[in-house]
This record gives sequence, structure tokens and C-alpha cells, in this order.
Amino acid sequence: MKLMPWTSRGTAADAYATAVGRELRDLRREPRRRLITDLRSHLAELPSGSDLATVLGPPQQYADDLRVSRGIAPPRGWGRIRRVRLRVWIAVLFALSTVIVGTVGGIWISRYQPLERGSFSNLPGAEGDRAFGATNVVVDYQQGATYQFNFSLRNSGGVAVDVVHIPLQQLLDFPIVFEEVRLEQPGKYCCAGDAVPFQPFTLNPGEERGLVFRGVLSHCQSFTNGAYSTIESLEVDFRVLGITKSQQVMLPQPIAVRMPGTGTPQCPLPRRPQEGPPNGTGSDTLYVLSGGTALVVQAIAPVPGSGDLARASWTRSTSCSDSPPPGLTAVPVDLIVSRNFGSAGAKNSPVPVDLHFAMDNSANPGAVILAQPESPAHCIRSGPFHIEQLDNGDMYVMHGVAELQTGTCGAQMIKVDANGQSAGDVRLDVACPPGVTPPPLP
Amino acid sequence: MLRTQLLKGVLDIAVLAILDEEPSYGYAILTRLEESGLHDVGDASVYGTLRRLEDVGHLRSQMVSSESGPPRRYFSLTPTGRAALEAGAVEWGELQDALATLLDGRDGRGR
Repeated sequence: MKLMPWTSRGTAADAYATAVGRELRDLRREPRRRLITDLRSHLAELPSGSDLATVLGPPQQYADDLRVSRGIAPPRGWGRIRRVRLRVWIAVLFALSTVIVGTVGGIWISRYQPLERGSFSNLPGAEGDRAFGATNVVVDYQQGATYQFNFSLRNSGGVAVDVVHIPLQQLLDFPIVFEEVRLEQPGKYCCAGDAVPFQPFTLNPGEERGLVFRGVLSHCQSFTNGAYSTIESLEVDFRVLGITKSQQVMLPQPIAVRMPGTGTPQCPLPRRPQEGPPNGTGSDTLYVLSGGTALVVQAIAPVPGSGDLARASWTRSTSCSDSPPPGLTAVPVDLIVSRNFGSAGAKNSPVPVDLHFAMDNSANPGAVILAQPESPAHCIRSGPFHIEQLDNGDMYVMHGVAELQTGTCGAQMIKVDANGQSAGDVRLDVACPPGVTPPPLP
Repeated sequence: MLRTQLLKGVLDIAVLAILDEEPSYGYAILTRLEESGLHDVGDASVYGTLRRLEDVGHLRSQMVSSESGPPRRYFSLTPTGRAALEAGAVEWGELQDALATLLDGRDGRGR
């Protein structure tokens, strides 16, 4: 029988004996050392030609057989645990560490709210009552008046954040319709003379940046004479460590709008923020098709000096034949207010659009409806639409920013669940379908 | 599984019997067991049995140089090992007879 050279066989035997020794780590040191030393010489006697693990089986099995034949008790308790290979323990510890770090990091990020008002603020108005820990600024409602305020936003956290968006549509039910937020130059907190339209910016730890908010007192139909409507915070979307979050940032002072004591202010219906239709004058039309009904929306530019920002209204046309979503025939979809037209006025070119869709659930007592956009299609290229829940007899607003091409066909599929069951899709087209004639303005 | 358990019970006797023929080393003993038809005995069992029998004084060992490889540990019987073999052989004979009687009775019922 030909044997492998001693040195080669000895090396393989050493490795196998060491592996067996690892399986016997529960034994006391000296007996184990003696056992393994003898085992090396014993294994070296074996003929060459095959891998030891193949001939003798896995080291663990060998160790188990060795225990039985030598009358050694099987490992118990900690000894059994020690038999697990070191790399397995390392993998387990690494996985546990990853889970712990991930969990702690996730909790930290989920609770991370680093933004707060900074050192500067300017909120015009009369001094009012104390509320929310600060004294209200009282603004008397005056139809069409502009209201502008400034404050600086500070990053009080220890990590740089990117402020990516300040959604103004959050304040739809507030008497001040905020049209615009502008960004002060770094280091400036006053006067807004050289402020630029909002764009994402970075706030390093401890850093501040001035913001200018401009709105118009133009939304009062929901309020009774003499009533107050107050806001105390604004939503700010920011990104930290690659994760986008939202935070309600407390205003330096709550802003309370006081309605006139008598009379009914003339309130324009849905308003269009920012710029007017193409070329700043004239009108434009949106067609929203939903559930077999085309909602034809017209918007006109504000009449200079009228106090109106824009008018928009909607009517229904049945000339379009979209199938209604199953189970949702009684759910009307309403378009509250519309879009930015883009000052360049170039139709058939993508323009950002603020879309605010209201879904009225008042005709469905007991129904809970969830609406969620599916993937954008055609000309409406991006969301995100907020997911809204429509409770019993309630009306909520879906809103989001999309990009569409005016004058061309576009569609957005909106998935609707009613009472937890899929109720099909609502298709929203914003387009000018053939054969639909825009109705006259109301 | 049963065969394996039985073999473990009589492996001491088998190893002592092989070494009663002539001194030998671990791998040669394993080979001899296989030649005898005991294929289910592993190297670890033989190695462990040899060490245990040596520990209790039934075997003695010495290293013998080899021309074709490393030195080999040769095991041989001690007087107590030989006595243990004799006693084991008697016990095995008795056990075999007892078991044969039981199995014969079973065969008789079967007929």
C-alpha cells in the first residue's frame, strides 16, 4: 500500500485533527490536547489517496464517534454551544449587530425632527391671545389682500439635512391661500428683496436659512362671521441620510385670521396659485375624466385689481365613455383646483401642475374609501399623490404635484379601495378629448 | 442502525481478538475488521477503542518506525487484556446461545 509522504499526510492529518479538536472544546484542556496529539499520529498512518474528510466523514461525526468509543460524555450546556464553529458565531453576532444597528438607526431616523424656527421672524399683524405657547398674530380678513411673513429655519440636529419641499397645499382650508415660498440668500433673514423661488437647500447643523411665505386672503367661505382660523405650524419635507421625511415646524407665532364681524366676504372659488395661464392672460381648460364622467375644468387668469387669483370651476360631460370603476358609481370625483400654467405659455410642453382632487364620500354612508395613485401614465408623469382616507360621509382632498403636457392626452390611474376591498380604478385624464366642447364659464 | 449499535457493544472483543493474533496498528486493525465483514466500524471508533483499552491496561503500545511513512503505534495485548478477551469470548458465547434460543422459539411459533 502506497502511503503519502509523511509531511503531506502529516499536514492533512494536522488539519483534520485540529478540526476534530474544535468539536471537543468542551473537554478540559489537557485531556483534549493528549487526545488530539495522538490522533494526529494515528491519522498520519492512514493511506493516501483520498481526502480525510471523505474517508473519515465530517470532523464533528468523527468527534462524536470518538466520544462514544472512548466513553466520553456528549457535550452539554455551554459545552454544546462552544462546539459551534467560530465563524458561525461571528455570522450570528454580525447579523444581530446589523439588526440592532438597523433598528436603532431606523427608530432614530423615524423620530428625527431637527428643524425648528431660527433666530429671525417677521409676522405682521396685531398682537392677539396667547395660544400654543406663544402669542397669536392676528390678521383681519380682507378679501384679496396679500399677507407675507418671514422666518428663518434652523437645523438643530447634528446631521446636515436637505430641505427639499414645503408643500403649500397643506393649507387648503386656511383663509390665507399661500401661493409662494421664497428662499432668502444665505445669511439674510430680512426683507426678501433678493429672495429666489424655493429650491432645495442644505442646512448644516446649527445653520439657518430665511424663508418668505406669501399668500392671499382669498378663501373664506368655510368660516362664519367673527370666527378665527389659526395655523401654528408648517410642514417641511427634508432628507436626512438619504431618507425623506416630513416635519411640522412650529411657526414663530401662530397666525390667526379673524373673519369680518358682519357681512359675507366675496370669496372666489377655487384658486390657482402662482402664475396665470399661457402668456399671463386668457383661459385654459383641463378635462378630467373619471367614472364615465368628464369633469371639464376651466381656469381663467386673474383680472388685474379684482383680488381674484384665478377662477376655476368644473362641470360634467357625459360625452366620454370611460367605464366607471366597479362598485364606485356613487362616488363623484371632483376637481377642486388646478394647476400652474407656466409663464412661458408653451402648450404641449411639460409643466409642473398642482393637482388637488377631492373625493366626496358623503353619498356613501358607512363606506371608507382609500385612494392611491398607481403608476403614472401618459402625460402625468409623476406623483406623489398623498394617500387619503375617506371616512363615513366625509370629503377629503387628494393632492400632489404632477407634470403634464397641456393640450394633449394624459391619464393617471388611481386605485380605489372601499371598505378594504378593491373597488377598481379611477382614471383621471387631463386632456382635451375629441368632441368635448369646453362649457362656458360659470 | 441496529447493526451499528451491536458492533459498538462487541468492538472491544473484536479488537482484542485481532490483537491476540499479532500486534498491530490502528489502520491495519480497521482493515482487518472490514475483511472480517465488520464494515460499519469507523476509524474513530477503532481509534477510541484502542485508546480506551490502553487506558484501562488491556493494551500496551509502542511506536515503531516505518520505511514507507511515519512511525506507527503498535498495540499488543497485556495479560489483563488477554483475560478480558477470554471473559468476553465466554460472555459472547453465552449471549449468542441465549439469543439463539429466543430466536429458535420464535421460529417454532412461526411454524
